[in-house]
Amino acid sequence: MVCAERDFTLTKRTLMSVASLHATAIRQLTPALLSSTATTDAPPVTVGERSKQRYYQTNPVERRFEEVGFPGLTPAEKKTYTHSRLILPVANRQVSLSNKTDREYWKQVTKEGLPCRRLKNNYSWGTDKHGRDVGTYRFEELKKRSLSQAKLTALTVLHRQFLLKREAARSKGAELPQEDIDQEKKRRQEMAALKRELYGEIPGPLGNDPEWDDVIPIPQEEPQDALARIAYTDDYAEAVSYLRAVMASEEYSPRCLRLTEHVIAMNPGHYTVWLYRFKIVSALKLSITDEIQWLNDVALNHLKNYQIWHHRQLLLDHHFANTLSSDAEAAKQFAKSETDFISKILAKDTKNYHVWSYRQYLITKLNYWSPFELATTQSMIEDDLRNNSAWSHRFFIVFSDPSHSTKGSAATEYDPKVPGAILDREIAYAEEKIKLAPQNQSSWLYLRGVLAKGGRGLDTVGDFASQFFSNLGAEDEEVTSSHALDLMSEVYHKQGEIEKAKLCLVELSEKWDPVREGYWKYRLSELK
Amino acid sequence: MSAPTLDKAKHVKFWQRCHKSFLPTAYTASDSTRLTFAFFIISALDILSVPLTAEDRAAVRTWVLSLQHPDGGFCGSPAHALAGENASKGSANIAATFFALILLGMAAETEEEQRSAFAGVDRKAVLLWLKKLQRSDGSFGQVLWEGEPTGGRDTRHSYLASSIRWMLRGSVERGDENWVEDIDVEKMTEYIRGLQTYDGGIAESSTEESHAGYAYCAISALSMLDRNSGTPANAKGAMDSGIADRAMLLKFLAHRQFKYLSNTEAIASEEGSTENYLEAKLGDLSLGGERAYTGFNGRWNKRADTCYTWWACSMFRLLDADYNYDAVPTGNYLLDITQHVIGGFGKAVGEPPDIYHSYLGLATVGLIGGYDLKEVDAGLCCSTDTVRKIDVAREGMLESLKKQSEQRSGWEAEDFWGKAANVVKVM
Repeated sequence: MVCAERDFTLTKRTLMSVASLHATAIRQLTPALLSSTATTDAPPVTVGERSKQRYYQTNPVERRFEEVGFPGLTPAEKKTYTHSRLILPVANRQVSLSNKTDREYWKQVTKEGLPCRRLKNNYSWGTDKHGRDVGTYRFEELKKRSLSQAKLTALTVLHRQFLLKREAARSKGAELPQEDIDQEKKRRQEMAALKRELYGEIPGPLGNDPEWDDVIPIPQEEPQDALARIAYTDDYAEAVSYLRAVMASEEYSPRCLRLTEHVIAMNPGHYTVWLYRFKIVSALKLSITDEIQWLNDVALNHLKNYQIWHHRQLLLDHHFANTLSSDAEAAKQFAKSETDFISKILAKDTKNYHVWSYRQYLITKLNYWSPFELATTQSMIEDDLRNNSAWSHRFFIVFSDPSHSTKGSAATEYDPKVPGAILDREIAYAEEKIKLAPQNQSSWLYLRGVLAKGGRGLDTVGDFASQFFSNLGAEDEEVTSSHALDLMSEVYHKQGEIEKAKLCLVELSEKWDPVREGYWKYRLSELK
Repeated sequence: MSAPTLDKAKHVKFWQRCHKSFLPTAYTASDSTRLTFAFFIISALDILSVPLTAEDRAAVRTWVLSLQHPDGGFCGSPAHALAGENASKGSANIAATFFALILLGMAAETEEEQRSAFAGVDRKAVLLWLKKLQRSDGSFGQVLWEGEPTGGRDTRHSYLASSIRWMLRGSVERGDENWVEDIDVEKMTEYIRGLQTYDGGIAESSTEESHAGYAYCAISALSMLDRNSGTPANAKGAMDSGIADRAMLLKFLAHRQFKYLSNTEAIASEEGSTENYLEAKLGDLSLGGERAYTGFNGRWNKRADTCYTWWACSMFRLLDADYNYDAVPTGNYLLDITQHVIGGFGKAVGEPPDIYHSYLGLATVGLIGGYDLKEVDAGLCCSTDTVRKIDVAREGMLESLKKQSEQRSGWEAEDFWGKAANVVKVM
């Protein structure tokens, strides 16, 4: 019924014809036939009330019939009621008569003043964008609405003319003058405003842009009872429907690149828009450095996003294959600018996993094992001794550098290729940092890691670790690092001093690290 | 001081709100993982024993199946799924597929529904798609893009792959008509084995920083390979061959917990002053009647976060090493520190509840037990009740496949045509 209402009111012309239908129907009634109650009704306030009154006006005796039923009508009323129904099949051309009979028929109908055109009951005016029944509108409200509808119709006509003109121009290989396009843009904005006002339809910026006319968006469809529904903004819903369309048609163009940017700004976690964007960049052979530049801003705005760094990795691979692999100087430059940016982002978020991952990838890919990297970890560790990400990166820089390590050596495996001097340097570094903060987990782990790589036993740092506790088991027992006790329990165990080893674990469990009581007890049970 | 409680009614309200109304616009940034969110919502209601109506359950099935990709797998959200002739242009995602299958199991109620929970899933297509997602090094991608697995090489995808395999593969033997070429389980195990880091943890690769989330996924991937795999109890399972150094791993895990200083942490959090957790004074035993809290982090020295109680505690369960932590102060942390007054859990002290942390917080409370929640399975991160249903669904799926192939061979069998010929003659 909403459609019917729209059809009736879409143009001024149809509006007129609706009105005249009412008027004719009323004119065809003789005063005698008008139900007395209808004439005494208060003047209608709303559109729906007027429809109801006109219904009674064009359906004589209907109200009486509703009130008292057929048996309750007077004989005259019965006659009118029956006749006015009997004439309908012929009036509606459901029964065809010969010309002569037809003339007779109409003569009779006119003579008796029977209503051959009648309004139907419960006319539905439909609802507006707020779900309000238009029937409850006051006349001035309907007038305003009808004017807007007429205006929209007029604009639609002009809009269609634009489309035809453009098609004609394009068939001759020409484009319309910019003036026309600008007018059309303005027109669409007006149409969008009207559609929003009238129907709550929200054509977004893409629908209003003639550049996107050839794309039929594929809106996301889902039932009312779909799960995890999100209150999308109209902008997002529109952008995604265009994205779906261009991805399906495999279009790789500058406008699509802009579209991906638009979608990414709202949903950076979209798992294929990034892959699509990369495809566009490579298909159009766009500048990788420009793309990286753009990506920098996105990364700074979405620190925790993973896709951004995956995209960056794809760009790096692409750039490497096309340029960097054959241009050492360019590779160095690129590595430098990348690490600069990484440092900038790590300054904001010192333990960002994706950033550190990418940093490793970059160094391996471009073979960028510079002293600068070691210095970076050093200064970050100095800023925060407990920054385990920086410690972890240092371990990578030292023990994965192909110039002094074995490729593919496991993280806890002895690597004979690592020079003793480097091991000494790293052990000294860890010990120095442990002394600054004896309870710091990261530095102790690093120390153990270095020893494993160097094939050196834990006992080689036994003396060092022993300085962090004294008088174990005695009244005046003192411990400044629980990690030292843990390490020494292993040293004693290896040296066959089981009781001493046990004592370390008992003290950890009962006194110095009771939060891990269960763990230390398990370690105790493993001691033999 | 009485023990902290789980405000079950508030949690029910929180999840019902998520179920029945639109998620706020801010969730647009997670639009690609709506299936995951749907799982969190429905599964939370399941753990809370809130029954779904028949209509709700039907809606879950219809919606989930509407996201199935014709070439195998499920799309992450309606934004990634296309209808009709464009359907193959959508993109299936490994996480979405995992959550879709569990949701189908969860939405089944009667015995018959459970047996046919996987009806409508193109088992063969999913398994073949899964195989294509595996790389030659044994790792898995999350999406097929131009036929190639893409995305990180991390253990999340291994875990999802091994769980999907468990749910759909069943015990079909090679040579059987319904046998589908399998992923390379040995390579997968070997790949995971190679991820242990110098500190005993597990990372995206052995040179990166160890991380409890990746560790959980690695261990869980192995455990799902071993789950009713039919291998004899004394045989060496994936759990044994996939963990290079169990002792070091346990040490890494045991150190994910620390004594959480509720007062000072709350202040530090307000000031946003530190990236690290606040260390208790060594040997400070003066609890003085104060309630004890244990917080968990994902990496060394980092601050406590609700979700790591799940990743760590469930990993202890999978490793059969629950003795490593104390359930009481762990529960205290969740219920007193991150449980929110409007229901749900926040990431850390003072944070508003979000779907992800609310779910994992609730799942951990269920895992620990004792709070009137359904029992939670450490491997699939849903109620054991749902896991049981999935088990029934697996059996039902294989049975119906068997029936179908019997029917096919029945039609082809000579005997049938012989009989049919006789019928024709008689007529």
